[in-house]
Amino acid sequence: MKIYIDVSMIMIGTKFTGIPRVTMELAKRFYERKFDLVLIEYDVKKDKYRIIDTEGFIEFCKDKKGSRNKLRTDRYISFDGFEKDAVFFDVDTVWKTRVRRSFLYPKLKEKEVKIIPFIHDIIGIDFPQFCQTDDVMNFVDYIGAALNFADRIAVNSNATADTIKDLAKRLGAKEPNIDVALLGGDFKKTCDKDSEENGNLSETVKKIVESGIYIYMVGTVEPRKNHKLLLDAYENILHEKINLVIVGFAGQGMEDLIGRIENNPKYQKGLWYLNGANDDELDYLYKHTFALTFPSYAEGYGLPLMEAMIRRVPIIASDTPINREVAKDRALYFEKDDWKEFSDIVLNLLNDEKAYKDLCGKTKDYVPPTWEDTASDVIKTFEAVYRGQ
Amino acid sequence: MFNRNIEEENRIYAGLFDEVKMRQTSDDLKGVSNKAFLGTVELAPRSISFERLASLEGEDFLTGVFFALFQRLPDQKEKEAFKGMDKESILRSLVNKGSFSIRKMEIKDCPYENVKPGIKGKTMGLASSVSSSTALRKLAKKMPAGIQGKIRKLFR
Repeated sequence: MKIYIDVSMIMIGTKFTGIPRVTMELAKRFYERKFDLVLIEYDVKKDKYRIIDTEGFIEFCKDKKGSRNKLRTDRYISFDGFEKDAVFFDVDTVWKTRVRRSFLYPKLKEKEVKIIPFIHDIIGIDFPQFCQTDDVMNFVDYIGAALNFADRIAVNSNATADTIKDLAKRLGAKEPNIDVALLGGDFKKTCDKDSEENGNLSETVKKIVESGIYIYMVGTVEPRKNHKLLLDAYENILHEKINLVIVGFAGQGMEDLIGRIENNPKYQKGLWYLNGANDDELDYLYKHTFALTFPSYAEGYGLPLMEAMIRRVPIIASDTPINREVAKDRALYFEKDDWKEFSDIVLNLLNDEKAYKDLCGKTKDYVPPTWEDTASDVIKTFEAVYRGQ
Repeated sequence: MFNRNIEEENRIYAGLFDEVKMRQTSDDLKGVSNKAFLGTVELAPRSISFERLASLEGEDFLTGVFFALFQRLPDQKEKEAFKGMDKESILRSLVNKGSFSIRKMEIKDCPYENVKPGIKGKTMGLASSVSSSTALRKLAKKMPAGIQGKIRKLFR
């Protein structure tokens, strides 16, 4: 089976968490399972897709180091040159590329290529207020093309599947065939990691842990992640009781929120913000935290929840369908906009040893799906398309 | 054989656009009509047919052309700058933007003569290789937010 994946954004990207991570993990596993994997990147000069050296790309996926320029071959595919009956697996942040899917998908359809988008979420449709306007418009083009032309859709959760089905219903569109492939977690790699011994911890990170107990939030700083709730809770009540640690790259337009953090009198004493951390630092902060907090308004999946559960870290999360699906009864939940309810949960856990112990115990038997499971589930989607389903 | 139903496809795109306009809390999309958005659907990455945009008027035309050429909307400053301009003037101005050449855009079926980048535009087009350099992108991301914004604007 020939599988095309557009990796244009990974070829120029600087961040490999979230969706790029999913793309790379699946590409690795398709390669290992000996599929005929063709990785492509849009070349603006030729106005065609350039073929990327597959083996080199898979190597790059392992440590994300080395020149990606060397991976660019001198072979190209025109928009009309895709092979009949191949799979076009659109998994990366493809709405950000130059090639509109409203343009590409009809061409693929003409060639009888199987179009299978992996839709991580439809936050750009359901919560456009949390997204950059230009991204929203490009995302509309992509989702519209997916609804119009996809042979089957793969998603990362039942919650995402439900949002797409609801959307199709509202539009009066035919309900798409959707398959769920839960995202994997590096269970063994995480448990075996000794972040302290690896020597990659900054002095700041060590100081954070030495400064006292803290609640921990990790993820890109952007409006939908709801950092504002944590700051409201910390500034009003929690600053006297516990520290707050926020780790994540600042998205566009977040200067006011970052300013709010940096101007707090307890900044770098009880309130900490790190604009990025390496894997060992993230792991170290997870393992020493009082609890992970995840107050997002909307998520496609919620990898930090899984990362916390793998490490047996207690979780306090906003009450959303996706958080409930990923964490189930292993977390305590609060209403998204209620910083008082969130504060009450934290204070109760600080004051009630048994309640805290009970919460810690909820993650002890958690075993995440593996990336192998994810790849297997996606392959089942490919097979379903070939069976004409 | 793949049978298309263009009307149904456009209905889906328009319906999605209505959904986001309904939920968008900023004013960015309020003035953007479905007609302007649909004018950009199915456009190729580099070669834009003017015929798709010809029926748009006023702000619709500006919005449609911007999104067709640059995959973004004009900001407030740009809207003010182009206010009251006729279609030909808008096009001639836009093809001389650096990003037109950087993106290697072409406008086909154009009713106006010689709508092509001038010297400034062509010079900026030489910078197209810079925008795909991962080393330079990494460097740019380390800059303060204000400088990052200025760099982004250069390639918009």
